[in-house]
Amino acid sequence: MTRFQAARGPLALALALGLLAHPGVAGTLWGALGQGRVVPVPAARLAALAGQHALVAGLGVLGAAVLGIGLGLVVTRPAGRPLRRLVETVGAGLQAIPPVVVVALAFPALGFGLAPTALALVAYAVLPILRATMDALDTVPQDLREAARAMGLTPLQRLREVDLPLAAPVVAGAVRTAAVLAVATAAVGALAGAATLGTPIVIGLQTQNTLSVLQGAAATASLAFLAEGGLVLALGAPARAARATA
Amino acid sequence: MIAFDGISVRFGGATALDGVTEEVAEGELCVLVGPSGSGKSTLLRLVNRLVEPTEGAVRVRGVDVRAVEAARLRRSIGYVIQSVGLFPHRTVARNVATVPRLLGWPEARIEARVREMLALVRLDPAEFASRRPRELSGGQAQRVGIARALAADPDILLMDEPFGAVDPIARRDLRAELRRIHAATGKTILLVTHDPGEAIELASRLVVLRDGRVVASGGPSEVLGGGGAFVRALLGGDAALRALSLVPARRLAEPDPAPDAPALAADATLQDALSLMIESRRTRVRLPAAESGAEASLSLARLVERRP
Repeated sequence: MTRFQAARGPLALALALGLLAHPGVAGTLWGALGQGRVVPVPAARLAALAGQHALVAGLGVLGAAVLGIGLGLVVTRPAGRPLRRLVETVGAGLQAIPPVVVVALAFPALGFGLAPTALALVAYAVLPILRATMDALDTVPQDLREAARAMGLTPLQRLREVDLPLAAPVVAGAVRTAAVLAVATAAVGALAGAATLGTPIVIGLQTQNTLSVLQGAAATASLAFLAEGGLVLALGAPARAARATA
Repeated sequence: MIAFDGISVRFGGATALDGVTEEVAEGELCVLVGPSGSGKSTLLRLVNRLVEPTEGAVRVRGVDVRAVEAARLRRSIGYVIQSVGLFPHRTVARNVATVPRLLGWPEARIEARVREMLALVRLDPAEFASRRPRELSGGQAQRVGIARALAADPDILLMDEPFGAVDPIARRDLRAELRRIHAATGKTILLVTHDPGEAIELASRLVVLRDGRVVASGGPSEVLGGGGAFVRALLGGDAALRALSLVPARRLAEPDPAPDAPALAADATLQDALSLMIESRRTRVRLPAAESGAEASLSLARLVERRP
């Protein structure tokens, strides 16, 4: 399956959910279902929120990817091996804290807005990426490393030419999954005052405007599928880990 | 070419090698043989510094290996392992090009060399250059492994159980291939095996190891003749008989026509000759005239003494 074929499904879903979130479509549907007349969130407002939402989720994933891949590399090098247990434990601990709690705890330090939300997303997404990086590097076959060493590749060359290319599909898969989770989870940033697609959901719940909740939820899901499809296009189709045949 | 001088290697409490002194001359195909745990792989891996000696020194081309930067030393020595270790994310051509690339050869020279190497191991470059390792059979993969090891034209080739993972037919072909390549290139080859047949077939020099010590070394017939009980047990009681199949009968023949003796085929080996003597209950067999030469014959006495 090429990356284009693999991206088709998520992108089609993103389009369908995007249309559902559109005030015209959502409002008409709402009316047809006899839910009474409420004012939908205007398209321009929704688009602006989507932009903010993508920004905060993107920052969160980027931070988690840099941190997760970086730490994964460090603790799988001979010099960093003693740190491995500690890093794994802290990573697992971070993931165990619900994002809402991270947002709440970050208030005093980072105030309201994007920063605590992005931080929560980093904390939430770092473990899957870290773990995938460690696992992928661990499973590079020993004989390949041995062959590379025996042919005179330096440690850096071995990392660049053997370890990283072989680990890349698995790590890319983890980054993709983390991105989808981050887009979905970024909605809680609305509780911290970050203007995201969670905002129409929170406001809708407070004002009993279910249409607003529907629009916010559909737009969030649309963005998540867009992230999935976009990353499949950018990083390649879902991983079938490269394997040594000989 | 390669000298081990009073080598001991200890891993933690375990002794892998204990006081080994050996020399391998240029152009030799030296086979290290011994049971598992005898230290033969460790001895091989000392040469390109995959293992460092606890005591003693290894000299390659007259220079102590510790004086050479490990990566540079390794690029100058070919290395073939049982599991081949081809990079699965690279084409066959890129795999073969690994060391030339590290050495910074120009692209055109690398490309020419890759084609030359694939031809040397009898893989058609047009068909195989762009394949991935997973699209190769075990025997083909090991041929690529050998091509990769020879790509930068090293004068030394290290082979650690190179044919252990391929089927018997491919193994026979690869051995023949290795003998041909050795004869054609004159490389110094150090090969580890636990297969006595392989050892006797390939070796110009045989080193027998046991528990980290050399128990016998020298030419194959020398080792077979004077090796003692352990060597006999290791190489098999019939090792001398099997070794006969490696020598053409013509090599020991004398220009003494024996018209009524039974005739051998022109390309018969000493083993064929002995077999024919036993079958026909005669002590002399006849070799038909070669293209330029008279009839010759071979006597049992010459065969036993193996004196040309």
